[in-house]
Amino acid sequence: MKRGTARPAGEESDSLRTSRSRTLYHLLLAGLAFLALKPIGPLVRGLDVLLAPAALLSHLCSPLAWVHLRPAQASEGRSAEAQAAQVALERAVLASAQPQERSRVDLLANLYPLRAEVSGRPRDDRDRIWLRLADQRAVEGLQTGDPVVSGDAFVGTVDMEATRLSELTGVVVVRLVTGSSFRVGAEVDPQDPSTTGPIVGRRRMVVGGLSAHPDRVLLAVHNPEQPGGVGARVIVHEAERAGARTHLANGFVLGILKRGVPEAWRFAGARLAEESILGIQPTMDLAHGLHQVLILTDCAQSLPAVEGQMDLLPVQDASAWRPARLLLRGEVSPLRAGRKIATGSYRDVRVGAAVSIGTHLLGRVIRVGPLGADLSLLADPGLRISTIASLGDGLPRVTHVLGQLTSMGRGARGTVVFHWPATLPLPQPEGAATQGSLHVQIWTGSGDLGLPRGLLVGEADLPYGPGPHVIEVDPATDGRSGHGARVWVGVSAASSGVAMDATPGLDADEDGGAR
Amino acid sequence: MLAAWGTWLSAAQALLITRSPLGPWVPDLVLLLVVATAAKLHRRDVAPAAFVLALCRTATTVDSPAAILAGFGILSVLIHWARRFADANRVSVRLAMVSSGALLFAGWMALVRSAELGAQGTPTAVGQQFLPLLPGVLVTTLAGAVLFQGLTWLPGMTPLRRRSRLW
Repeated sequence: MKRGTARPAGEESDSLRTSRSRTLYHLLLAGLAFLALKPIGPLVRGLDVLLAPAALLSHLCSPLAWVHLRPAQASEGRSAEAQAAQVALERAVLASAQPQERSRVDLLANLYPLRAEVSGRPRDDRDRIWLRLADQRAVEGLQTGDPVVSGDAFVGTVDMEATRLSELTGVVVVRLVTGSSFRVGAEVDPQDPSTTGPIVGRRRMVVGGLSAHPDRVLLAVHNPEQPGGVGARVIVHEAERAGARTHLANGFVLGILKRGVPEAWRFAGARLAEESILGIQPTMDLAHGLHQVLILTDCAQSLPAVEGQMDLLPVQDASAWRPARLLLRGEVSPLRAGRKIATGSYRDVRVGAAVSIGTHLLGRVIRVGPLGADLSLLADPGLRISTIASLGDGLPRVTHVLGQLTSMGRGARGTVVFHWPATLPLPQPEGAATQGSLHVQIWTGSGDLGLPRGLLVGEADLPYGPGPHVIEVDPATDGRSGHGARVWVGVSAASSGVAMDATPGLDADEDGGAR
Repeated sequence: MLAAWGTWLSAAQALLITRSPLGPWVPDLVLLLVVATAAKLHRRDVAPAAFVLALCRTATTVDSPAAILAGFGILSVLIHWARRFADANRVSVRLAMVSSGALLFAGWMALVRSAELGAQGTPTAVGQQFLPLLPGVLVTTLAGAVLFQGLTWLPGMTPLRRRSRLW
């Protein structure tokens, strides 16, 4: 074509269209790359819906699904022994909500405690938890300010205004003592032998929120009546007020009074001891270790028994599970340990839901489309699960709250390596070696949405002493059989009077290690 | 047929990585297909082919679908652009495309995974995620020299058997 000669109009518009479509394609790729590095919940969910037909491609892998290295064991995780172990664990878990010390057991004898399980907490407010009562009808009798305890520890108070405003049905909202605006009266326990109370007198204070200590989690102390008392136990001491029942928790433990020196000051002069931070070290892991609690009330609620209500563990309720067929027992990325399952949101599957083989935890759902879902196995780095350990030989006798374990990937010999913060270290028996360990069974605990308590994770040797620790867990299942896998959708209204609704906006960022 | 072959090859790769003693020393056959389609097909067919192969990959992995779509898409754009400067029919050029493509894609997935873990509160260095992928990059490069032409002779892959042209 000669210079200066205009191109035909059709050719020019074709060229413009091609250039425009290419630019749009490049912009689309850039957008996808941004979404991969910085996921935005609604866009990710929209993409999962758009790519739903791709789930059909997973079914093309079905001819390869028979390839596995060992035959399926039909009774895997479903033996009578396994189920009996679950029941025994359940009894131990329920007992863990009860106080151990005599004085507090006597306190409870004059009260009407309501049993409840921690079912989760809001993503945007870590200082609140959701509870599900053993009998949902008792919610109507609760008041704001009703104390919540777990074992011997004070945890927080009921917030009925937030409960009524909550989008979830059947949950009670509790404000934890770690909340910045939470305040409760307290005093150094006069019965604690390490206190100088008989000489000095009462040491009262107000407790609530977290102290400014940069290295440790300490409850903040406000307006202490007198100096001193460091090392002694601090208990709730609330005055009786009309319309509030927080004083029912008087005598329950907040923690140990500590004077914390930040690590950065360790080698500084002695005068800095005056600047050290006064706080209370909790005796519970308030971030990840709350499972079973009691709400203290002072009036009995005579509720008629529900007809036909079975004494059935939620995790053993068949209606709370959906069958989940594993489409391929392999993962193409060496960095991941995952599986594709053929059950999606159309069968009520949600992100964070547990997938098990019988009583054995296989993994958690990290992505859901209408027709299928992605499963993260225990060995997938970053997977988080709320756990408890059962101590002792044979059937579980005593439980110890481990809190949240975070997977660090595969270990040697088929084990899975987990990070254990050990906020509550294993109590070391007298005579046990300093560097010793204890062989335990690890089970799922409460407080994790989508993860029911009572699924066996595996066995491990837990070291004594404060953490964090890196532990190797021998998983209960390797997922190689694939038969009989099922995904948790929650306890149905038909079986227990409770509707386990999915949290609005629950996505891959929710606590619980999904994704 | 591209979708079927892409899915089966990806599934076979997944089983070899997870079940066999080879572990990460398994060539990325779907990536080879992405390079082959980007190097051989007409410009208008490169993007749809990359999209289809990305879907095949998402069907066999729990990695982020957005990361795979972006990774394969950008890789195919780069490979197609490289055809302006080198003859993709030459073995040495194809080998260079395969090796650089495998390296770039591995780096990209390591970056995405590092960002994901960081967002979950378990930060990890990109290098820590990249190192386990290096055996796959190496084996994929070697496989590119051996299997590249073989992939084009799979049933239903006739368009890949034509000589690469600059169009």
